[in-house]
Amino acid sequence: MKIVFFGTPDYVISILEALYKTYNNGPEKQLIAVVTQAPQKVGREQKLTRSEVDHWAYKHKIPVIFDFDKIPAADLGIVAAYGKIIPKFVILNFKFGILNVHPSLLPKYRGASPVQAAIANGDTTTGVTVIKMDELVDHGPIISSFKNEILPTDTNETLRIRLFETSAKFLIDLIPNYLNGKIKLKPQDDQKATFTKTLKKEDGFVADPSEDPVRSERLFRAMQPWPGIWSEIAISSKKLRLKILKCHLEENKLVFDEVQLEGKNPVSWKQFESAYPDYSFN
Amino acid sequence: MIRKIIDVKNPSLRQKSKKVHLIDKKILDLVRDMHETLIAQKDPEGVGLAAPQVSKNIRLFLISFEGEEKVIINPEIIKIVKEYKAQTKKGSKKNDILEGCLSLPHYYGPIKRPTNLTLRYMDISGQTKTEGFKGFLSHIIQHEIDHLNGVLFIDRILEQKAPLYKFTGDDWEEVQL
Repeated sequence: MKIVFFGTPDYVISILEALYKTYNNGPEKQLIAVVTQAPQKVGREQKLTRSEVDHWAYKHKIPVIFDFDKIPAADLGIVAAYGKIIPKFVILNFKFGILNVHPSLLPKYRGASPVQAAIANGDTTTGVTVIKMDELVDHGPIISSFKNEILPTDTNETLRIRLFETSAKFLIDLIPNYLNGKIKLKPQDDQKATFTKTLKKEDGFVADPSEDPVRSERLFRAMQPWPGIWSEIAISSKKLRLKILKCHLEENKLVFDEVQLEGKNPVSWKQFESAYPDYSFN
Repeated sequence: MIRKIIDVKNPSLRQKSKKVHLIDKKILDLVRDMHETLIAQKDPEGVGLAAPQVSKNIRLFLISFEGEEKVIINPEIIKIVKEYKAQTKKGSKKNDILEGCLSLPHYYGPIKRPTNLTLRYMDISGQTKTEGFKGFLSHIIQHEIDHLNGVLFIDRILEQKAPLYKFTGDDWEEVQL
């Protein structure tokens, strides 16, 4: 069997690794290629940077493909956080279709930021759904899913790592059952679908973090590592942005631990307060 | 991203390179770029590229010869068989190993080097390996290790009083160093 993996960020490498261990340990290398996003300009210097999946594949001598037209014919595709819409002709390239590993309990939280949405909304459980991909975003029929608890300390980073690590094993057990047709696919209930968007910097804006401390703290955990949360404060009648780098809840009050003022270095909240006693949130 | 291969006159080719301590993203990016740079060389084609040739003085090089591609980090020659390849008759270059360098393209010279060696090195996934190399591969490896020590093949030419040839596309022309 020939398998192609589609993915981009570091947190899906657990899935790639599990596929590699299962399907490439014998003489027959069944994981034949990895499709990932082409190097992107990143950061202040706009340096062309390769994805983590790209580096991983190079290390393990698996061909890396950026271009949909160059994907070799194969039996099964596995997608985890690839980051771009996969066109229909690519799906048709696979005899058994493409399985999409999506970190939410579909049809809830379709789209690009499901883990962040679950934390920001204060959900206590979420999960991962494996669907058979069709040409609409996160729309295909459900093959299987599992639930996972959201801990009160979970950030987007910790939760998504856990979700994908758990899915790695889940997927390895699921694939043989899927291939031999033992699993009946369940269409999603489109009426119940909710959608999440690609995050932007503005999504981390909170006008007054202490107004709804519980909500602010959830948003803080959801927006890690990027974009983080930030607000605007007035210092001597000048409006400045303030990033909240660390904070926690104490008796239903939001306590800042570390902040960074526009153009300044990160400092502890204590230091900030003594330096700018006359600050005020708008 | 294809990087610029620096020219033989550049002083940074004369520096001794430092060991790699951690294969991080920076090193991975460098290796990927060097790989692209090496396979993009068509006139002349290259069989190896050392990090100092792209202005990074670290102990790392790539070889790409007859379909075999290797990334070699912190190499250490642990055994060398001092059996030099027999030189053929003067004037016939057919059986000599003519050595060239991407930092001095189109110049070649017959250099005698041990044909068998055992190398300990780290591969791109960070694993330490011990492997034997012979023939042309052994030649390439020694040439690249020279780069890591700031030595160029023209130094070896002078050392061995070997001739240096310029390849002009269809003819070989002997030149003075």
